[in-house]
Parts: sequence; structure tokens; C-alpha cells
Amino acid sequence: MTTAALPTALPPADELYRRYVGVVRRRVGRFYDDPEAADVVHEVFEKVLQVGHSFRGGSSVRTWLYQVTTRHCLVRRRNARRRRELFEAYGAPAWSLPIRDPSAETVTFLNQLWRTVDPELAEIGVYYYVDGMRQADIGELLGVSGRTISNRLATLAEAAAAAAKEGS
Amino acid sequence: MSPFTRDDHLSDLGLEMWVAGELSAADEARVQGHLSACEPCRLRVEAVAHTPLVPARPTVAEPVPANRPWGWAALGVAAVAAVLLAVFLGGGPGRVDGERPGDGYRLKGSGLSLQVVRATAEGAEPLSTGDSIRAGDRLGFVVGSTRPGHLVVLAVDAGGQVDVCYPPGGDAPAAVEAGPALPLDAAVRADDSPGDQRFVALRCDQGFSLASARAVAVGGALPDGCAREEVVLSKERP
Repeated sequence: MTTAALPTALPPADELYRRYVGVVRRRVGRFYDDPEAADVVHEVFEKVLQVGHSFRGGSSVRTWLYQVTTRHCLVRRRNARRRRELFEAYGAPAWSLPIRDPSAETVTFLNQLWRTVDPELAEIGVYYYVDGMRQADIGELLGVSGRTISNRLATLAEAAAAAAKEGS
Repeated sequence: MSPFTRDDHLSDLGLEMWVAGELSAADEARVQGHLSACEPCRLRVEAVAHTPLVPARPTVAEPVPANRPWGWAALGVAAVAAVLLAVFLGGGPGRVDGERPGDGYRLKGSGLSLQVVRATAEGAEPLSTGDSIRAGDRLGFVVGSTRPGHLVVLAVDAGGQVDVCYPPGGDAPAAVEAGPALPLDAAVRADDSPGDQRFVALRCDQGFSLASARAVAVGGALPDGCAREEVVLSKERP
């Protein structure tokens, strides 16, 4: 998808912020509404300062930030039960509105499944159910094969079936 | 990596890559074709242009060297950028083509706008062509652009001297995203040279050299894929 040569290192912090605050802001908007989203954006850039050394240039900076932001938002949501109060105050979180018409599996994933599966599986679920990405593209983003993604999604489907069975 | 979802709409990541001009030529063409036929995805693209920015933290901007050979000194970049953000995102007096930032995203035919802003004790004062400045005035810049690309802002004095205002200290144009009002991390101080002062913004889809930008600033032909805007200010005698 990318034609430009991939960078081998992140740009300086000020340039990184200036160039990519928009993409981080929009990605965070999938998970959080304002006013919390603004805080999360700053958290992501603080996180980037900590983990920037892990950027190996295997992807574009934009793609890498997309992934870092997704992970940060998932961990943050998982670890913050108190945010239920914000949920009640500000309505449904933005990520309950996936870019595709939500299927039954998507609803199950968003409502409960992502909290119980391991972080990697939750991340794959977001890319698949919320973002509607193709398996091969998820694999490219995460640096694994499409086959691996297929297997992980099968695991996710089994977990969804088990959750549905428990709920019935 | 495909920029499309499983049901052939533009993915979030694909959208970001398209806006940034990071797609291959083939994917670029596919996205263009899809956008011409898919209103929901077009609306999402427009929403990207309306994404509110997050106020910058002072520690993010690095100061740039103050000693410039051309008499315009960069100064207080972080402070001026913060003022510009506050003015433009807060619905202050400075707007692109008279539009409030949240009300629309319409630029003139070139798809590029340039706003020069003077820092004041109260905040920032937008300046238009014909307005006057004095030696010592601190000036900042806000651009609006309908497309991502590469950007420079140049100052051209009455004697034809061309200096680079943005990117500060840069030796090449800086990448710019699409947006209705993008405060630039650059601030300059007006010197005491006499005559009109022109500020020229040049944005091109592809990278270009500062030499070619300087040529455009003094009346050279505008290359394909480029847009040019300028603001001409009068210099009051000290």
C-alpha cells in the first residue's frame, strides 16, 4: 500500500506530534468520546516516547502509530472500570459504532468478549469486527500470516459461541 | 495492504494513508474511484479534515536558532503556536476565508490559504493583505489546505530577498496534512527593512526543492500539482 521508502527511525518528538496528532486523534475517537479523548491522545504520545525504540521501520510511522494507539486504548479500557461512570455521563463510546453495519458477532465482541480474551486476540477482534479489515491486512499490520489471523479469529468465534451459550 | 474493508469500503487505516498520500498509484486510483461513488466514505474523508486538533503541550515544540542571516528571527515558537491554536480552535477572530473552523472546509480555487497572525498582548491578531506591520512585530502563520502535501512559507522583501519562514531552520519543505486551519510551528520577527513584505505559501503534492520554491516566490511559473497563496503587508517606517 505504501510507495514511499519506509523510515528506519521515528522523527523527533515535536515533528512526530505535529505530523501525526490527527491520525492518533481520529483513532482514539473510535474508542473514546470527548472530553476524555483529548487526554488519551496525550497519553498515546507519552507512550510513544517510552516505546519509540521499538519502531523498527517495518511499517510506515502512520501504521505503527495506528497500532500503538489501538493497543493503548484497549489496555486503557480494560483497566479502567471507573470509566463506566463516564460512559453513563457521555453516552455510548464511539467504538460501539463500527464502520460496517455490526453483525451479531460484532455486537457480542463489543459488548463483552473483548474484556475476557487475551490482549492480542482483543486487538485482532478490533481490527476485524470494528475496522472491518481483511485477514491478510490484519496479518500484515501485526507481522504475522493471514493463516495465523484466521486461526485466531476461529478462537474468537469459539469464545463468542461459548459466551452466547452462557448468556442463554 | 488493501485500503479497503471486507465489504469494499475505505478502512480507517486506508483512509489515513490516502489522506497522507501514502498509497500506491494503483490504490490511489481505486480509492478515487470508490469515493466518486460512495457518499458515506466521502463524508468520512470530510470528517478527517474537521478533526479537532489537540492543544500542543509546551514541551513538544523545540526552539529554533534565533540568529538568522536574513533579519527575521525565529522566536517563541511554542508560545506563538499555542496562541494560534487557542485563537483558531477557540473560534477567535482568525479564520480561513472567513469561515469558522467547524462550519465548513471551503478554500479558494487553489485549495490553499495563508493567514499571517501578529502576536499581541491579548493573543493574536489576523492580518490581511494591505495591513501594516512594524519592525519588531512577532508574526505567525496558519495555513488551510484541502490536500496533504509539502509546504514552505517564504518571506520576500521589497528588494527581492527571499527567506524561509517555514519550516524553521529547514532545508526542505515540510509535510503538511489537509485541514482548514493548521497553525505552523514557526514565528518570525519583522525587521526594519523598508517597503512591502510578501509572505508566500507554496504547497505541492510531491516534494520539491527550496530553490524552485524561491523561484515561484519571485514570480516564476507554478509547477503542476502546486498551489500558491500570498499575503502582502506594508512595513511602517520606524
